[in-house]
Amino acid sequence: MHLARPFAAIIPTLDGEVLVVLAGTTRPLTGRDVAKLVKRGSQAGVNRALRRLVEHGVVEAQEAGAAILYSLNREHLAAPAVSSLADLRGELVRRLRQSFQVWKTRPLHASLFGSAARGDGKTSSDIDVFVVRPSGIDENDRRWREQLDQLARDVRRWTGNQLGLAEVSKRDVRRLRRIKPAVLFELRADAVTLVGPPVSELLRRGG
Amino acid sequence: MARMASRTQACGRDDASTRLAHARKFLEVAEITASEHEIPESASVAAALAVLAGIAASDAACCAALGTRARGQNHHEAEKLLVQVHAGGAEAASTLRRLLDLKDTAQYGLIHVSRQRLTSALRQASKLVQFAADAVRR
Repeated sequence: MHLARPFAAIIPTLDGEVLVVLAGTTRPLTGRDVAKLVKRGSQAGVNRALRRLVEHGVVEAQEAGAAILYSLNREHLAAPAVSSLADLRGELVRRLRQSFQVWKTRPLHASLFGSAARGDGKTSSDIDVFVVRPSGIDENDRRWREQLDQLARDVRRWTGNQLGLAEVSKRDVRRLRRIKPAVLFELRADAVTLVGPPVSELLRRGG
Repeated sequence: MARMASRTQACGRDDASTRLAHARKFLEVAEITASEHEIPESASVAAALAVLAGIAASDAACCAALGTRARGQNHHEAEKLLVQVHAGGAEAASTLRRLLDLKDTAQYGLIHVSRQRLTSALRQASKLVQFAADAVRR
């Protein structure tokens, strides 16, 4: 999965970008607005994509004075598929949260961070997950390791990307706070909490 | 005839990321301040910061999804824009409205914000930050 453009697995052209932008709002947008909000592509390319999508009926165009306003036709047969493609990262977060819910040995905290959390990676980027092991559970605890291995397999199957695991113990959280490694800044800036308290609270409490 | 000033302002993806970073920091400082239970005025200050976090998060979501945000202090215009962010905009707008109801009490009030109201404000701000992060990542 391309972490900046997950929908590109199915629609690799600029049409995908344009559809995702239109799926994100109920407000009709001008071609210029759309060009400003896509992550790549020129104004001319966006205009061409909009014309193609209008032809297929999945995008509606309405005149407003001199401007043309575009919106996603949410009644189109393809609209649910567009909405799903626009929300693939949200689906990843939901699946990760569900996974942790069924763990027999629950982590104190887990969060998605790095490219997958920021939405700026590529197909070769890891899906980075930060996990805090509860007290009394050894790093090599069999059940604990099995859970992590299963998570790595699931992430690979769901996305095609490798799981990048940053695993620490409860005690390590206090050390992280003291040493302040680069990962700490990434966690503070972008982490999406999957289970347990938010990163800021976890670091404040020291585990 | 005098021209009416525009109530919205154009913005884009970079602005969305900046406002999201502001929202996260406001929320983090709000949580730290809220933990100072022994200082009575901390509740009002934390609540004011939670409101700022909610406003910044709304800007971020609107910039990322609509390419526009409410101008200056016109926060109720932000509610109208937020409704148009898909999906979940209507719920986010109602969360912002509840936070804005607290704004004057927290910022200019003569009595301290209650702990219960502060807890709700922090929860509401956190929901908006999450909503904005989803919109920016999309």
